[in-house]
Amino acid sequence: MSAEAPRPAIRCSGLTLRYPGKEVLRGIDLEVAPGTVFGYLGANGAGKTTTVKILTGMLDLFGGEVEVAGIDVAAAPREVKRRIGYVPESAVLYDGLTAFEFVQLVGRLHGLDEDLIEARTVELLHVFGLGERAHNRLSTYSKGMKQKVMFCAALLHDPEVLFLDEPLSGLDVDSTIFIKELLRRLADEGRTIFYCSHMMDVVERVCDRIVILDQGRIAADGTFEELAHRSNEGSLEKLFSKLTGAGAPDERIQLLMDALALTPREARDGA
Amino acid sequence: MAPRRRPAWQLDGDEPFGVRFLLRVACVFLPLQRALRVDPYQLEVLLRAKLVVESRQTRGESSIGMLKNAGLAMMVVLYLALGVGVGAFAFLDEEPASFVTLYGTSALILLLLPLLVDFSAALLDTDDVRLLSPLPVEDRTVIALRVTHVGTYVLALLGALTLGPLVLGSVAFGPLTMVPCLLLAALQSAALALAGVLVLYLTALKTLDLSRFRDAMVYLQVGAFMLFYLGMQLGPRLVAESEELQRLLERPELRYLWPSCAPGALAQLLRGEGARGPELGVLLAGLGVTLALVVWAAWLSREGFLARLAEIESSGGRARKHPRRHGVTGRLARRLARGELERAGWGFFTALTGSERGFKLRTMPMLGFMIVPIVMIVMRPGRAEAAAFLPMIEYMPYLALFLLPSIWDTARFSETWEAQRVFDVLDDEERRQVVRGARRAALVRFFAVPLALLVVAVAALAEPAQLVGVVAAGEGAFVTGVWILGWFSHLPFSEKFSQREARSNLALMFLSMPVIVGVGGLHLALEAVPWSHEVLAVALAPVALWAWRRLPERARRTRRRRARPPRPARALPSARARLESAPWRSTPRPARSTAPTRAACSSRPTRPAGSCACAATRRTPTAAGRCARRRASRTS
Repeated sequence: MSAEAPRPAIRCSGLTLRYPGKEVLRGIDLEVAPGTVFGYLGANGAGKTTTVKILTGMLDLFGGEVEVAGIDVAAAPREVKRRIGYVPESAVLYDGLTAFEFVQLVGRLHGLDEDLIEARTVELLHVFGLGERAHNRLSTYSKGMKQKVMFCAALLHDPEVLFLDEPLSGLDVDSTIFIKELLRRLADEGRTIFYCSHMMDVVERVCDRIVILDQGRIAADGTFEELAHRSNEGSLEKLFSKLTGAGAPDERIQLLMDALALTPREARDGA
Repeated sequence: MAPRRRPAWQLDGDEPFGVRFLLRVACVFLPLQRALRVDPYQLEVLLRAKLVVESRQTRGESSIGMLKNAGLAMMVVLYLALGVGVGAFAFLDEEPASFVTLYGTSALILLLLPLLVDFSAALLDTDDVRLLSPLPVEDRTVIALRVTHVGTYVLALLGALTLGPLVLGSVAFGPLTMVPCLLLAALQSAALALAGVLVLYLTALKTLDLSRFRDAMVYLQVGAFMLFYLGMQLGPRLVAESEELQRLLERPELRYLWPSCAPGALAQLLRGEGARGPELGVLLAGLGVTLALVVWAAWLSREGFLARLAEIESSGGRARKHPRRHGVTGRLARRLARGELERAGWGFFTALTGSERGFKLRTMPMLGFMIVPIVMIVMRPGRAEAAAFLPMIEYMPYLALFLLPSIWDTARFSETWEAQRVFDVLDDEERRQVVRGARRAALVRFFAVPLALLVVAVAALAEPAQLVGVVAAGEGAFVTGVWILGWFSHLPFSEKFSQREARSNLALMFLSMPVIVGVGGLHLALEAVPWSHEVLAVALAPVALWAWRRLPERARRTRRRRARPPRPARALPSARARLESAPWRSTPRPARSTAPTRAACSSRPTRPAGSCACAATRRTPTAAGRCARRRASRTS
């Protein structure tokens, strides 16, 4: 008897989304196995954040089928939200609260036990190096510190799937190393990480599987070694540039320099 | 085992008094929340957090809070006065039912207006959408949170409005009838207003193109405001003149359709007057409509609210591809704003008034109602009848005057313009020029319409004897407007301001009230006192004579000044110039032509080493060292 294949942690089929005058996603098909660190790359405006918003149940006017942790996102978004954690690129917090109060608030909204909230909040803030400033208002925190608070809030309820949208922006080197190790460890423990980023070196090192998105479509899918082998490019950066068609940087720099050299009259004449 | 949660709505005393008080007020809505299947625990947690955040605002923010509170305090005072006005009808109405109906209708309209115009931002706030969207919080709970939050303020207004009718009505008809009927009317009006606004917004969220949603809401709100004002002005006149309308309004079936008649029917039942069956029918119909609206709002709010707000945030909005040409405005700017900086300020303010939704939302309803008199004049052709509207038209400059500080302050709380950064690179004089340009744009933008209307109305309606008074009133308003705006020396488009400024703004807001009352009194005096217009004309004659003699001379001087070749004025500061004068440069670099040369330096051997003021000393430390060594060798 063959062993039953594990249920995918994330499954999308034919995912589309359209804003007036703009097609953001044009049919994304994905299956992410549990315990995977999944890198989701794309140029600015390619649809990465929109995909994350759909997967986390924040947007609901999409086409296609989406399941997260085995639950249909369209049918039961609240159940999905109970099982996921989300760290956005720029932290959105109630700045008048302290870090402790904010993490506690998130724990209460997840319906956790009061004792558990208290114990985990103290521990998480301490681990992220915020123990001493836990009772300071968030308005006094730097961007990186706010990002750490978002990590604490996202991990508080021990989610099955963690969505990270450019999570390392603003973090110092130590914290970045710590987060990379943490992600690896969480994946080894069976949690799934959906990681959106522009930082190719981190994605190269941390992610088990990489998808490159280009104008709302999947342009490449596989492990880093597979992608490198297929395209004969030595680094993820070059592969990304090739796939997303951004063009050679030298040419673009020359264009920019030419544009800067234009005087207003020449610019008008040119137009 | 179920998780151990802190009991919901248990006030443990950790929070400041204000938070505890507002949480207690919010407890009033607890049965309704349960009935609507809202999670009371999550609601309490979120409301507590929101109130705590509000209570801990920083210094700058607390100034804004102070203004908001002052605005609320003013509204409470205004509603208290309106309540006394409505209550006075208790002695004019013989029937308690019609008095209660009048109160219910007034309360409904007066609650709908602030809900549509002032509190809509709180209901449709997208600030915390990105925080709450990924959390397992139901849309219904978020809506209940916002309604509860806004509801506490609505209750304050409702209380102020109800006090007068409650006291005066109890004196006129007895407390046993009035207290239950008026309380029912107050609660019903609040429920109708809140549920009605929610139904409107949620339906619009579900049906409208989301990228245009905010624009559409602005126009909807302006339309509602104008409709209200037009209805207030035209309604009574139309009813007085049209017999068909009077007959229609007297039809008993109408009472079943207008829910505010329900408390009146209760009054009839309590006093044992009227037929029992129809009165009971009216009561049940009114309460049924209210309940149906609440249930409809709850049904609409069950899902999609947060997702729609998130989509509004994601989709943003579409900008105009080709910028609108400001033909008239541009010409005016060239005439009225002098110099690049003033024109920049003018352009800044004009762009703000034209493009920013928050600004439009706050200011357009104020301007919208000025169109009402035009509609009324069009509907009432004939000099004799239309002259009755003259006082209202005369009053418009004063209304604009009253609104100007508020408009100016709204520019300060602009949502997307971080103009403070622009001001940061300008010096004081340059800032003053930019603000001057913006102030002129504000005056033209918001005074041009009422003044033009005034001129048209004067030409069309006023008798010759009234002309002087009307013109004097308009001019007076204009001058006072300029003066009031002159008071606002602070920068617009910025949230950085001091407590002192906030206090002066508050003082000004309150000062506007007596000014308007005074002007109204002056108008009444001019109307009531015989020969007053003529006396005013005689009094103003010297002023007119002075203006006749001096103004052409001033205009000639201005023309002459403009004809002169322009002085080499400072252009807009370039980035390089800014860097040159940046504070981290200890000494400014002197002009090349006047700087002493190396030869000049060497010709002054008596100067002590290290104190050389030559260009080389300032240029680089190495050059300074070379200079000092040269001098030392010469001395030795």
